[in-house]
Amino acid sequence: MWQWFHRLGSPPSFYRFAGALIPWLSAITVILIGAGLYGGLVLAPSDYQQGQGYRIIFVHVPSAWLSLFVYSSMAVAGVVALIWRMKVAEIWIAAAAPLGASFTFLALVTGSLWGKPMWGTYWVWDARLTSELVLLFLYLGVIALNNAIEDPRSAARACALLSIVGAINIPIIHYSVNWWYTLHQGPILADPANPTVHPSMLLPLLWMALGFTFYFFAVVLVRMRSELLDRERYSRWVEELFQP
Amino acid sequence: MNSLIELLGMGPHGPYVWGSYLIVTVVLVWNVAAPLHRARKLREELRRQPQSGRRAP
Repeated sequence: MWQWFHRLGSPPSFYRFAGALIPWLSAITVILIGAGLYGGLVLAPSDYQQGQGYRIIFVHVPSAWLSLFVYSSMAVAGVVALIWRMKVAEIWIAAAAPLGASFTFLALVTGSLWGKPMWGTYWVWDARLTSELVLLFLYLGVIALNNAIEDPRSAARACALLSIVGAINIPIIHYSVNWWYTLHQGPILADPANPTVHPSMLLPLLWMALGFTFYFFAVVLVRMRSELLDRERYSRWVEELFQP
Repeated sequence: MNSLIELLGMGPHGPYVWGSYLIVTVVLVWNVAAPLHRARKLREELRRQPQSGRRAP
């Protein structure tokens, strides 16, 4: 395990490993999102209270889930980057941040498009929405920090630190609907044994959430491979790869 | 199963539902297209890059 971890930490091994993984991740993404869209838009019945409007859930919840998952992964990568100075972990943060920001943006926009017909407003400054907006600013902070510091290793350390510190916001977002009075509905899977959603709606939601997760992994690996090539362009393995 | 007309119309919520799906599609497609474009350009650049002479021994 430890040896595997170390081998994956070496840029050339990671580059090859990621390259082999991307086609599989992409294929699984297409299948899951295809099944999720068909189940969510065609098979699932309309909601007895929200009519067809509830179908926004199939893109809103996966985006929101990814917005939390990506930031958490950046915080873990941040710890690895700071303790072991692992280049791959540093690059993970740089490559994942723009994707996380886009999922957060999508969660906010689709949530607001859902809020208008259901709550009568696009936006309220309540705990869930505000903490999610703070998450967007945290992502933008990491991106800005990464661009502002010229030396990639120093930039990576700063980004790792911000990722770790900002992770305090993740449980706040997750539990905001329990801790404070909010317009936002509570968790639908609080008790997985007794879901409050009918399986005809829950299953497509799970396919979509999984599909978005595989999508993220596929795209973040594409981004990481480019970032690695760019940073290591004068190293032996890159030159051998392109100028044999 | 809903009829196609009903599905496409989404009742009074059509613009909100389809607006959401449209924005998500645009962002997800962009998130794929931009890194692929960058990867292609970078590979071309690296192929043309002169030998650095700084290869690690």
